[in-house]
This record gives sequence, structure tokens and C-alpha cells, in this order.
Amino acid sequence: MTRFALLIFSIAITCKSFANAPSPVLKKFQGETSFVVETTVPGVTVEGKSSAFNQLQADIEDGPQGLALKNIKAQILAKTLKTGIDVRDEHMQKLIFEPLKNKDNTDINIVLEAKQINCLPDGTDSYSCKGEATINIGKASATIDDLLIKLTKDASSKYQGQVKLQLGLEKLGITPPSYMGVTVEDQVEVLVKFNDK
Amino acid sequence: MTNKVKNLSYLAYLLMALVSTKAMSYPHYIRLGYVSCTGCHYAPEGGGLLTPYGQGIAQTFSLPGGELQRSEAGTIKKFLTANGKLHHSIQARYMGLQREKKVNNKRQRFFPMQFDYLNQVDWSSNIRHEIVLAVAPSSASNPTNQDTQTQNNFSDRLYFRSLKLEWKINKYWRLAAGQDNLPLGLRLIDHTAYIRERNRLGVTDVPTQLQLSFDSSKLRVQSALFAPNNNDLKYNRETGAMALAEYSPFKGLALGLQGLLAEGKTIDRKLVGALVRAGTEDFSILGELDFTRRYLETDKIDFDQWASYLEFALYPLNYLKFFVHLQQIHIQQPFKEKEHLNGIGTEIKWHRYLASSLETRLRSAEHRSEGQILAQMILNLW
Repeated sequence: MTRFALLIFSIAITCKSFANAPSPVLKKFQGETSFVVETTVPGVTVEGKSSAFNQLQADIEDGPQGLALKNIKAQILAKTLKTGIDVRDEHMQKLIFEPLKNKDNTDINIVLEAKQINCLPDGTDSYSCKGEATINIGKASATIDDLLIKLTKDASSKYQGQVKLQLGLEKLGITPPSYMGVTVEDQVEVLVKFNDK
Repeated sequence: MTNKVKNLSYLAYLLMALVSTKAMSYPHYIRLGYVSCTGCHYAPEGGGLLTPYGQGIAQTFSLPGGELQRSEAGTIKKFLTANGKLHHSIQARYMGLQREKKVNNKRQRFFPMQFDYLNQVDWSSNIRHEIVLAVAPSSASNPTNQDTQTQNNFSDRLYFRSLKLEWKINKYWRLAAGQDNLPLGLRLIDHTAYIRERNRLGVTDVPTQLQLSFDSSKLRVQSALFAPNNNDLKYNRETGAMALAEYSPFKGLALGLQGLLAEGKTIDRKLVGALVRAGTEDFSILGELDFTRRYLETDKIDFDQWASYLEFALYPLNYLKFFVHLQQIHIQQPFKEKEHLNGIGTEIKWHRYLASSLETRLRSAEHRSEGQILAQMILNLW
């Protein structure tokens, strides 16, 4: 009898904790992505950005345990990325993105998808998350092992955060381009900032 | 200017027009994310000859725009440039000046402001020499010459604006020895700006120096030990050290600090200054504030000088700039002076070789003020 009572109690506790676990909510965000890549010449850094996301969303768990991100998907058209100099934009499209076009010759999408993300409070009002992701640029794809995510919920229950990653051009099959003696380095730092304000 | 020098200048001009590569530094390119000058210029302090990348940028930010189309060098060009190791350039400025008040019975002056021949040889991938041979305007070559007619002509004085040998130690560090302007301040093109003229950064202030520089994507450091050069007048000779550090916390902003200690025959200088360069694609701000404490050896007294420069500029098009600059100089007794120089103007880069500017200035002191209109044609053949 005692064993049966304990079993019922355990089941009840387990059910309660399941009942407390919030189911992830799919949130759609607005945001901006930017990238920075160094070159072989000190002081010449190529930076670019775009905020024309086709898709920017994440599954967010928000419960008594805190915030957790489950999945993230960000998709943007490569041609919307701008560096501030038209000629440089043309080079970027021609030397980086054009060779990655699919057979159907459609516009190139950059798609970042992250799953199995673990988040921990970082001692402030933010959560630091780590995870793995895949990035697809046209026909090329690469795995990102080290994805750093920050997520915050403000007083008005609005979420904001950022995803930071390093992308190796050669890993994507892209030879780092060169222009008049200035060659970009292989590693590109990518930042995606998002919010639901 | 003697006929011989004049003829030599024209001959050099014609010859170099065939094979040259350019000068001039653009500190406002911080708006495009360029913290240091080394992308576009061989010299880490900016100015001087352009790298191939800088030539591409010069084309992009000119009226025709687009990409610089490079053709295969022909036999003559290969010979004259020692197969690409010898670089030449001509930099010239012609100025028209309209004054509110007559000076020597004239309101207008048209005169050649600058005529430089630039030369560089890449002795190896890490070692290069740089020569800038200049013909000074009369007023610059002889400060006592106030005769307007003489000022309209070039002086017969040829001098080296730069003559130095540089060793590129690695990607970040460079060591150079020779004579040049001190790598101090914003490196404005306008040598009459208070922060240049009153800080001994005029066209003929080219001390002998040993320069060490560092450039990375976020930090640039310029330092120099300097001594007089042979052309310096006795009372102008000074020896000292300087350093400038500029840091960019993020794209479009660079903050700098600088200092200089100099011991001269008549005056000792201690200078500290702050610099700011900021901008976005369409807008830029340049600022510099320098404080100098000077010690007058003859009278055994200290006096202070403040010099400032602030420029706001808009770029509605790649090749078009509208600017406003506000300048101030304040010197204590015994050389008491308080003067403002404010200007508004526009600059157009018609071609990668050719630019022009038009500016209205108001120079005002305690009991006097004078308006000026300056028009300049700037030729940079490379």
C-alpha cells in the first residue's frame, strides 16, 4: 500500500512538473544582421549589413525556470547585404555569392538554422546560450560548432537577443576574394540582432 | 621662379603625367570604415603615393565612379616604372583668392599653391623609399615676402617635402627614417588650418625623424623622434619626440590622443591634443583640440596656445562634399592673439585625377574681420 501511494505521489509530481513546463512559443522577430571581415591590410576591414529578413523566428520557452531558446531560423537574401561602397557590393555578389547560385539561378538566400540550444542565466538579466547551427548559402552549406546567443526579456515582456558566429569562407568552398592587393581573411564574424518590439 | 626651374617643372609634369600614381589624405574616410591610411596610401600617416587599392577607391569616389579599369602596362610604362617597382605622381593645386579688403591694391589673387613630384621605389617587398620634391609658393618659402606680385609666382626654391626610407617590419609595424611632416593631428590638406600652421605642420616644416608606426583594424599609433633638417632657419630648429594613438571602438568612430615634446633654439613646446573622427556613409565629423605650453628661452616665460578644428560634412553623392569648418586659435601674452576662422564650402571630385573646391571663409579677431572666397583646382596625377 505504501509503495502504491509513493508511486501515485511520484506520478503526480512528474505530471505537475510537466504541466509547469511551458511549451515553446514560436516568435517572429525583426532584426538586423551584420558581418565583419578583416583583410591582409591593417585598417581595411569590410563590414556589411542588412535588415531585410525574409524570415526571422525562434521557439522560446518562457517559464519559471527562465528563458530558453529551442530553435532559431533566419533567412535573408544575399543581394540585400550592403557594405557602404557600391563597387565593393558588386565584388561581393560576383566573387562570393554568384558561384554559390543554385542550378535554377534564383536569388541566393542565406539561411541560418540552429537547434538543440542550451541556455543558462548569465548573472544579469540575460541568458547565454550555446548551440550548433547550419548555414546554407545557395548550394553551399557549413556547420557552425560555436554559436553564441544572448536573450533578454524586458519589463514590457518583449524579447531581444543576438546570435554571434564565426564563418569560414573556405569551409563554404569560397576562395577569399582579393581586390587590388587587398585580400579578405577567411573568418567572417556574423552577428544577428533580433527583437519583437 | 627662374625659367630653368619653371621649364624643368613643366617637363617633369609632362613626363610624369604618363606614368604617375597620387597623394592626399582623407581623414573623413572614417565614414567608410577606414581607420588607418594604409589601405589607400603606402605611407602609414597618409598622403603621398596611392596603393593600387587607393587608386581603386579614388576612381569609385569620383564623378565617373565605378571600378578602375586596369590595362596591361605597355613597354614604355614598364620601362619608366622599372616593371612596377618605381611609382611616380604629380600633385598640384592652383588657387584663386578673393579678399574682402585690398592687399597691396589687389582684391584677387590667382596663384599656384603647390607643385610636387612624388617618387617611390619598392626596393623589396618590405623596403621602399619615398621622395616628395616640391616647389614652394613664394610666401611659404620666404615668410618675410609679402609682395603680392611675387607671391603670384612660384618660388625658385625646390625642397624635399618628404625624403625617407621605410622598412615594413611586418603586417602591423613600420620603421622609417628621413625627413617629412610630423605624423601629428588630423593631417588636413589645408596647411593654413590653425592646427597645422600653428603647430609647426606647415608645408616647409619637415624635420629629420625616425618614425615608428603601428596599424591594426582598431588601433593606429604614430611616433617619432625628430631633429632639425638642414633647411630649417636657425631660430626654428627643434629636437623632440611625439606620439599619436587613435582607437576605433566601432565602425565610423576613431578617438585619438597625441603629445609632443620639443626643445628649440628660441621656444620649447609641450603639446597635448585630442582627436575625433566619426561618420556614416553620408556624414562625417572631424575634430581636433590642441593645447600647447611654450617656453620662450629669451624672456624665460611660459605662454599657452589653444588651437581647435571642427568640421561637419555631408556627402549627398560619392563625389560631392558640403562642409562647414569652425577653427579657433588662442595665444596668451606676449604673443596675444584670439582669432576665429569659419568656413563653408563644397568639394567635387570630377575625376580620379581632378577635384575642385569652393569655400567662403570669415576670419575674425577682436577688432577686425575679413571675408575670403577661395577656389581651388586640385590635380593628382598617378
